[in-house]
Amino acid sequence: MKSWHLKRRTILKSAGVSVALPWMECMGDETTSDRKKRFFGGYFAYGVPMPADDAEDRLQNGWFPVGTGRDYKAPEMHQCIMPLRDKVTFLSGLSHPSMRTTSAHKGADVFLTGANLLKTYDKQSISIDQSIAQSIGNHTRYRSLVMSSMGGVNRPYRSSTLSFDRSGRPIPALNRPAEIFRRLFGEVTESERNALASRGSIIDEVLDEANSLNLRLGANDRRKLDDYLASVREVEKMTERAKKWQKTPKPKIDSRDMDLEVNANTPREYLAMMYDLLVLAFQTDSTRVATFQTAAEEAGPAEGFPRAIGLPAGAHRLSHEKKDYADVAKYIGFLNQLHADFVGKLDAIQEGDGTLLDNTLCFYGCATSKTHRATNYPIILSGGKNMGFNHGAHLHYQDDVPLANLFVTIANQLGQQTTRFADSTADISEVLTT
Amino acid sequence: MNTPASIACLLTLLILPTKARSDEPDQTEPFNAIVKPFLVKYCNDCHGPDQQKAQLRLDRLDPDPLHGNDAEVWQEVLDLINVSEMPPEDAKLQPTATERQAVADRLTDMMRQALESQRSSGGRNVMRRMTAYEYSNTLRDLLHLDLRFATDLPPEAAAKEGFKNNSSVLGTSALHIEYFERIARRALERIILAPEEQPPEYFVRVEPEQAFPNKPATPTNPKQSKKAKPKTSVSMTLKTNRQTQSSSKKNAGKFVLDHGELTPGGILLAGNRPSDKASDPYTAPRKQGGAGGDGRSGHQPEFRVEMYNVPHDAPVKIRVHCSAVPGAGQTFPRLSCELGSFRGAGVSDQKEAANIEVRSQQPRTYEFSVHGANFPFQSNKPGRPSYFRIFNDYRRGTSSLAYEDLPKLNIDWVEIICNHYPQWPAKPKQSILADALPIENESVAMRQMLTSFMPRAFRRPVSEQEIERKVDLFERLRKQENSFEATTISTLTAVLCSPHFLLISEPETATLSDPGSLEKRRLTDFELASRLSYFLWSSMPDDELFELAKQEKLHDPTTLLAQTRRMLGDPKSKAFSQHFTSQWLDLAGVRRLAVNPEYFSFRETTKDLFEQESIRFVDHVLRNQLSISEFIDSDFAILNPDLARHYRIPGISGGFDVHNLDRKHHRGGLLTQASMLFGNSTGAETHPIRRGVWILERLLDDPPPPPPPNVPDLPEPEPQDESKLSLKERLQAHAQVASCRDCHSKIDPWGVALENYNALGQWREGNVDTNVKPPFQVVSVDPSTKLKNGKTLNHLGDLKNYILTEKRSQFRRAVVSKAMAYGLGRYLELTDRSAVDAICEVVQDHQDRFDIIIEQIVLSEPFLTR
Repeated sequence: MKSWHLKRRTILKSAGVSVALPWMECMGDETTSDRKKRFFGGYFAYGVPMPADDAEDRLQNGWFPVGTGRDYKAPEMHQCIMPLRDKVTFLSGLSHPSMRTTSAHKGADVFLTGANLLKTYDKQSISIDQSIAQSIGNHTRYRSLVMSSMGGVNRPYRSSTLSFDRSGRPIPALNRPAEIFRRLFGEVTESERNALASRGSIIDEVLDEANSLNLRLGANDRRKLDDYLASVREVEKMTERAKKWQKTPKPKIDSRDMDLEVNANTPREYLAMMYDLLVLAFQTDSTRVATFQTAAEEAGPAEGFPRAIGLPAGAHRLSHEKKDYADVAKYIGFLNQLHADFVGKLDAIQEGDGTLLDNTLCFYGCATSKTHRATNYPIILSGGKNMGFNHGAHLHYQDDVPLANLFVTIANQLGQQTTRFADSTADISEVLTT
Repeated sequence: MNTPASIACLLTLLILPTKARSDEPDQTEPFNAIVKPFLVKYCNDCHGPDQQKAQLRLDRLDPDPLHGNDAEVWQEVLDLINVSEMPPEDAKLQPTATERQAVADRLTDMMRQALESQRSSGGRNVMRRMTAYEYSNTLRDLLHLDLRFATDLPPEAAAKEGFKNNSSVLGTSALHIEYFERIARRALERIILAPEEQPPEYFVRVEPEQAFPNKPATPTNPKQSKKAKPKTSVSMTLKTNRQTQSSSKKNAGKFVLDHGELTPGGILLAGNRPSDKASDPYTAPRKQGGAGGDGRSGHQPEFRVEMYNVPHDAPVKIRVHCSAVPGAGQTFPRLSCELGSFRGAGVSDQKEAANIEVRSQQPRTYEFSVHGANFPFQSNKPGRPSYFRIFNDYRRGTSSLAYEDLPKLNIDWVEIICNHYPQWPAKPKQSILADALPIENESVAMRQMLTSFMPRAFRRPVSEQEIERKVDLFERLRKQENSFEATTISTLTAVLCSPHFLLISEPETATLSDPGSLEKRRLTDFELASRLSYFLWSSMPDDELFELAKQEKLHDPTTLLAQTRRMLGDPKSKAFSQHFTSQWLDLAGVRRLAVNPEYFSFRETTKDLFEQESIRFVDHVLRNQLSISEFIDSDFAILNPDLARHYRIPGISGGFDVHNLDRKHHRGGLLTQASMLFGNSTGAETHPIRRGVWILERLLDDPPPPPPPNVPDLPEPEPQDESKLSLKERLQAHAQVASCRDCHSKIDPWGVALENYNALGQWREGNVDTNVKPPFQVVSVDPSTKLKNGKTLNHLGDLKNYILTEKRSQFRRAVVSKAMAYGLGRYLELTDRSAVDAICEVVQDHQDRFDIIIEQIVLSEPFLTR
């Protein structure tokens, strides 16, 4: 344990020290007085332990704080984030109405979208992160960074990504640290420079090709080709952006002490590395929007995560109701620790007159509470002080309040003027400074 | 189009999507007869015109979940009725269990039909993107470059019934396009930018004499060699144009012998791999050079050559001159070679390049050719060496053999040749450039290259116009790029990013029919060639298929059949066995599930064997004209020693091979294979429900409806619990509610019949399972059960018989349907039903041979049309 902590600190330090700041120059159009706004959406799987309120182990093993308001008592598993108590809010009671009655473990799909998949036959709508990226995603090399431990998109109701674009198409998540590092910080090779120079012409060519093909297609085929077309057009936009950034060198990160080949077989090291990459992405202003699904609700690599703390594998099994909550509490506590470390690192990095955390809103939680109940999501909101967020309390809501109400508030604070998101009915101003 | 027949056909197609199955009655009638009266009688008081508790009003819901707006409300109604939460307990009027069941069944059907209609493509094939593995194979065959191209692509999802090549789940994202471009460009750079002159071979030869120059070549005391770990430098030789020179110092390497035994004749590596010893799969990668021994102490002797600055990104040839020293009981050593690299102090990555049994006691040379880029052969940390490693992979199991009795590998010498090109320019470059040489006019050369490259990439003839467009692109790009080579790369990259390359089954070459019409049309010969090759090879057609397509001969049934047989005989058809089997049987379940170490000592690598067994089994049935009844019951198994040991079948050595089974082995068919039994367990205990669902879904194509929400899992037994419930009691507890019981009585018995197989698929009976660790050894195995229709099954044998007799046609139909869905890359629909019927009939007359099924699918109407 000790050496691990040491190692993490070394990485962060080395990263912090060697980060050069050339990107500031290319952002001349952005006034320096205008603070950066960032959003992070994080997810963990399979719900949380919920001992009865009068149970002896309520504080020992439970997720939800005891008592509401500023004087709540934090359970054992949240002690790791208590040093930041004033920058953290616990939320209980919220959920997405559309999925409240579904069977188990379908929540990750809609955690950030609030879509009603039953009504639309799996048709998704935009996720809050991508929605926000429309207004704050244009100042950085990458519009957003989408990560998950499983990678890809998987399948409806067992999504392995939290992010969905404007048309509701899932955005594949990245899951390999080395590849994420390469994209963010890897030196641009000659091959990549050549690629960028010719990509515009190549895209024009294949778009023309696809368009002339499109004229001859029936409806089903056309849908498939539209999928392809939309993707190529997006690459076109990404190319334009990349060209704008071409003259700006990527931030230099010394990766000598980072084991970028680490994978989900060593869960602690893997998750910590993924979180570290997020810190670096924000710190270097490579992107201002990121999501990380630590585990998909599908038997995948994350099933083995409990091994990191000496428990037998099987994260799903662990989450199921048992007489004894100790093991699952220990496991969720382990995930909380990693999340708390991440938030703590953001808070340890100075930015302007505050910290990186003050300019980053972190939304972290799960779409089930106890076992298979898709209500009363466990949620931790942290950071974003400079965007008007106020913390330090446990806020409890009635079970019928849509989570999307919080998204309305988040969207507004992050620069989008809107009164609605998905099935929202209002906003949630209690999380803001009055 | 104007004939009455085609109008009728058009009408059918227009009507069908909303009515999923012809043998099921129209929706509205049973709705009015069953659902509506139920709602009026039991629900209207609280959820009707007078009162709308929970803001829910049921009398105005649109009974059509597909076109109406009330699908999610219906789902909720169904769920609540199903779990008996509604009507509430305190309601005066309660429905009978039968009434409740009738409504639940009706609503379930309604929802399922709506979903199927929603997903329907009208029984038509839809254009689809290649899957990641198809993309990799296609680039391999198109570019003649055997690399794994798809490692960076996002993992692929599987459709409802398990198939990844189903058009409806194959989305394309910007990330895909980005990687398609990047992968294509890098591959083309590798090919086109290869130097004019052949790069020098890096040639390493290691002999014991060379490794121990100062030691007399006398038998050494093994105890001494244990202490004196010989490490010595080894020189590398660069061979250029047959001239040999010594490499510079920076390429120098190191030879390391870890606990092998040095003899006058070479290096002796004892095979001492303990096979069933538990190892924690989640520990850090294997440490090199750690605790060791000479084979006596139970450790794995090995020797390796550590090399610096080797050309890692090129073909590698490995030659090992060695012989076998058999162990007691005619056991033989296995030569295992790995390529790898260090990425930290003592931390390494490696991958197996070869693993064969050595039986010859005369020294022989064994040769292997691999591509370095497919291995972690380059360290991502500067200053860390790449290495080549040899060990004897004989597995001694749990027995403790004396050192003298272990089979040993006697290694005389080893050669590693990096940058090994049999011809130069290498084949990939030759095949792209050959037609364009010598280059006098760049545009002309490009046109020539494209003329041979594009038809292969697009898998069809390409018009002059299409080629000219690409020549235009080349000329545009040439103005901004500084070399012919660079522009060639960009132009060909555009070809490999084209929808014509990435998407399979293009409709546009159909000239006769209106592409937008609903009428099915015959595939063109080229489309058929692609459909065939992606079905059987998961890759593009080869020259012979293209040639037949060009001659328009492929639709001829005799030719088609001959080609199908030829393709199944080609090694590339292993792709079918691998991908069809693993997707059909959901072999990925093996990897998703972790073994609970409190219950079992288990070696994580054994999971590979579970998957291998099923893939090789299906492959064997296909290649030996065997019947699909072997899938249910066979008198042979495909085993290697480790797997045999896992199943407690004695007397099996060597590699994976066909072995005849005895009754006492309790094996035979897919149902006794660990992939299925373990993949559908909990990793600790058996899980009859999952096993039952698997049989219904995969073997009988009769998937049960999904469970309602908030269903708890089966409670786990507590080992200390004196009054512990038997499995059957737990299953019964699980199904206390009438509606649950109804569904589970359809599922559970199938799984209960497999109770003689523990969570790892090992045989057990009576009250003790010694394969399991204490305190979980006490069990109460009872495989007897009763199917919903009253049929009693005493054990798995009865179940197998039942499937093979009474359920035989359903099983046959299931296999045909699964293979057909895979072959078509889409869900089967009502319109495919007659074709499936016809195939089943033919197959029945051919002893249900699996290869006949594949042939008949190829010849079937849905396969030949779109």
